[in-house]
Amino acid sequence: METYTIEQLAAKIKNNEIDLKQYYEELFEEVAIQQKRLNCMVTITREEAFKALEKESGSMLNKIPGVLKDNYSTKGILTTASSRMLEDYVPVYSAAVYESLEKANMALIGKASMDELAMGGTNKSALTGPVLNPWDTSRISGGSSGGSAACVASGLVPFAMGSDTGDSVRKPAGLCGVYGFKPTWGRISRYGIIPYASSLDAVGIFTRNVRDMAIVTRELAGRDNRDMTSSFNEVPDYLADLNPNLAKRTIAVLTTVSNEVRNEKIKANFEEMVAKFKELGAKVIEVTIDQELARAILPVYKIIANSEATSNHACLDGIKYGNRQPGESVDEIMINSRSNGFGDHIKRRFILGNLALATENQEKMFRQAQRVRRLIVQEMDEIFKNADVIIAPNSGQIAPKVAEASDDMLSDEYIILENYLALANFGGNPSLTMPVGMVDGMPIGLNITGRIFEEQTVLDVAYALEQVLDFKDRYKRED
Amino acid sequence: MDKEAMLKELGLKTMFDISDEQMPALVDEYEVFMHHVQVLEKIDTTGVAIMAYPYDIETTYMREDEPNDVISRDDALKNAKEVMQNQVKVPKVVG
Repeated sequence: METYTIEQLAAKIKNNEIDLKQYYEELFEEVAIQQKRLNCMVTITREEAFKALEKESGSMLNKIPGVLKDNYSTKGILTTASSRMLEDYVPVYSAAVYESLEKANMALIGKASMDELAMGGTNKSALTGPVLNPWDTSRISGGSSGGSAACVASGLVPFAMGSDTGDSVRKPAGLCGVYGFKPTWGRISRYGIIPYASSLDAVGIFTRNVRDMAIVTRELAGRDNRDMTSSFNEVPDYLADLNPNLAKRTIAVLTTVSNEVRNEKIKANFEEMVAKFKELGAKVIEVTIDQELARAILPVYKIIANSEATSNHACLDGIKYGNRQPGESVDEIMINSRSNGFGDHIKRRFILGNLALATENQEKMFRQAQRVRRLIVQEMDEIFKNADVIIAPNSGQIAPKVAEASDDMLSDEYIILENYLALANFGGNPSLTMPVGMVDGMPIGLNITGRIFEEQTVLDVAYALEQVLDFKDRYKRED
Repeated sequence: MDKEAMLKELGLKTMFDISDEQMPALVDEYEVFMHHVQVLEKIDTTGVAIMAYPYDIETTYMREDEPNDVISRDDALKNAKEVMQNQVKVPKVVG
């Protein structure tokens, strides 16, 4: 079947140049093939997609196929967050993002697999099993939004929604060779998204090029009264305002991260990208953050994220909804339901989150992490006084083999390089990962992070680089 | 109290019954977690305020006390496993 970008398909629809019924029939045949190959979906929503064909909207997303991560509440459609606890949960309301997409008349293709409750970076913890990388099915998609990444990277849909608490959109985007964007915390409503850690969680988007990213971001951005953290800031027209001229841009190379890369090919690629930015006319400077603080990124993340998660998910008790197990008392029902409903790694994280929140520990664990978070964000703010964006390699490795991938590595390289993307969650910054090369047959990515609410700058810088590379609109599909 | 007993108790407070088979992995992760705590302890944060959100939010205010986004009783009970007389059924709480 043909694979289109949002812009291409929207033009065909507008000009009546496509038989949409036939297109969607072929698409769902392809969905079945890729689902078998990649295990990327939890639920396939054929009926929803065909309903959209009977309706119209003035949006560029009118009748465009898209996918939602399975932590977006979808009224009347199974929403599991890839957890046994919610394996038969059907929301009675929809997330703000899904409402916006419904209003735009997007055609929902399905709900994508994810790490359980978004707590992981491999997509191996999903109730439905690991999601495989479209470029090599012996490798992981990355997580936690791995199903969404795989759906876009296999060309099934031109865009998919994810969520990003530490790197859960950007990391899998890089490993699967697509674009992953986490706009500013507060830019897009999180209402109705099953949370992980509220002070870090952000809506994220996958596409295969910058222009499509601008379209989806514009469609979703803006104030929503139901999310008290969503911003009143005006939303620019990201697509119309795209400007690839870098003549007045300053790009900061975060050497604290890039110097940690051990893979020579990834290192060489990054140096090549830095050279390209210079050729494009940008001023490129080298910056660092304090090494002790860089090594504290993972500890701060783990303590804050686990603590907020255990609090957010106290509601998952099997009483009002979710997997209910028998018990002689209310407490016993809750303990049995939670013990049965969550994976072991989730239980461990909740317990350790509770440890950091305990009255006797809170000051030295949770609050100390919140203080160090401020010190780290201050380092970033210092850099942003002299630079429009910060760049670094998205990861020091290509997608790991399924059997080898783990969330629990503690090597020096891993500590900084594989966790620094959480910087943008600490500060709430817009942060985009784009494909910039192939290493050993697998895609690698570059991350670009900007000042809060300066999505346009991040998109502009990515747009400039995209035009001198040959990695946009790529996907990998096999039978 | 030894480490395993402490974690077992903390598990119950978090409403989990951690089995003997699950305990070794929990102890391992606890050690890693405490290593993270030590890394942070070494950083001087004297006079640094906590950062609970990424930036100062202009949207934090008390909204008018008006009901919104109300769901019906039927909807509220739709996902409950045991319902009786329009209420979620649980074992007797008061003796």
